[in-house]
Amino acid sequence: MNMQKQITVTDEELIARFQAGTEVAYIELVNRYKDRLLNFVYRFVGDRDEAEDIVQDTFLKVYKNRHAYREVAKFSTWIYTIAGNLARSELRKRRRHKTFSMSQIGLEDKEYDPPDTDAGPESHVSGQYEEAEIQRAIRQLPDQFRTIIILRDIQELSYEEISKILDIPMGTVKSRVNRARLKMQDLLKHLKENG
Amino acid sequence: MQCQLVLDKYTAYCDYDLTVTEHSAIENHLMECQGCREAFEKLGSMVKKLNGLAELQVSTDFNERLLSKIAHLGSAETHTVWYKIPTVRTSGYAIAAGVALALIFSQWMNPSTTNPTLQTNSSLPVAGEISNNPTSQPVLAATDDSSSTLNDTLKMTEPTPNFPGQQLRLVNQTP
Repeated sequence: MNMQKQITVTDEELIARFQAGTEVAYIELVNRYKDRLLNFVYRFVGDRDEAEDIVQDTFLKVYKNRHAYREVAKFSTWIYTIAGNLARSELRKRRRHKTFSMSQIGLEDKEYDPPDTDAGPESHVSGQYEEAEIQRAIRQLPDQFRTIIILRDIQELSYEEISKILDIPMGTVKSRVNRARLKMQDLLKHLKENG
Repeated sequence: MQCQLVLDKYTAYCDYDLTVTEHSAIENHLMECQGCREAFEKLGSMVKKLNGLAELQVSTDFNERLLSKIAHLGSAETHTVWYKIPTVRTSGYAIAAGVALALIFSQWMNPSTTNPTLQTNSSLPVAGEISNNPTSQPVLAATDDSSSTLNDTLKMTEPTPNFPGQQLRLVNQTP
């Protein structure tokens, strides 16, 4: 009975309890979202440890700014927005660093794909090459397409939720999903041809 | 229907987000166009692969590390939060302004106290005397306590206005 009750508590009820001072509710939210957010952020930054740090920072922000949450939005929308912003700022930071490093050898106009030192879980499963190529293709997508493809095709969020997270109209989300898929397919063309 | 237009409608077609007319137009095109049919198949297969990518899990000590960061966060907040309270900050500004005004007022009331008493901790390895006019009273003197060079002082011994004939003398206080 008690288990049943725990399962039916919504995210919004949990954050409300946490706002009222019940820290156990916070832990439950962490347990619900930690893996989902890790996958989201990992697909974004392509480095597992870095992704985990960003997820930690996301939960720290939730802890510190718990009173900023208002129930007008879903909790998932809120936390994905925080994680997405942190991941994007990490990428921006990296891009600045990349521009600096590449400018040293005069190759700033070239598409730079840093060697993947952390292959992630793909190395341990069959079809690792294909998964690595997919990850590489995701990272080559422009920011707006990358976010969309991760949220829609990997995280499988609804258009409505994506629209709220990215603060763009639903029509834009749908058209961007299609363009991102076409771009992604183009990047994976060699993979399709090979297998 | 043009192939590019069909590809542009791929997602809407899969989501049944088109009008009946549009949907049938695409179906008819796919029956006739092998290129678009293959493209749709490839897109469908790619989306399926994206849906089924390996799921990562956070490391086992994730919660522990997070709670430890929160614990540190708590102590940091305790130390810094007081100055963030608006009333405390305003009081601080008021006190600082009051002290500044009091200093300005006291200088205005008694300008003689503004003459400097100059002190320095500079090391003076050799004591000596610098004098422009040996007969006049020393005005600026430096003392050297050779037992501890940190105690060396250079000070105005007389708070009077400077004269051309004033002396600068180094005084060695070593017994």
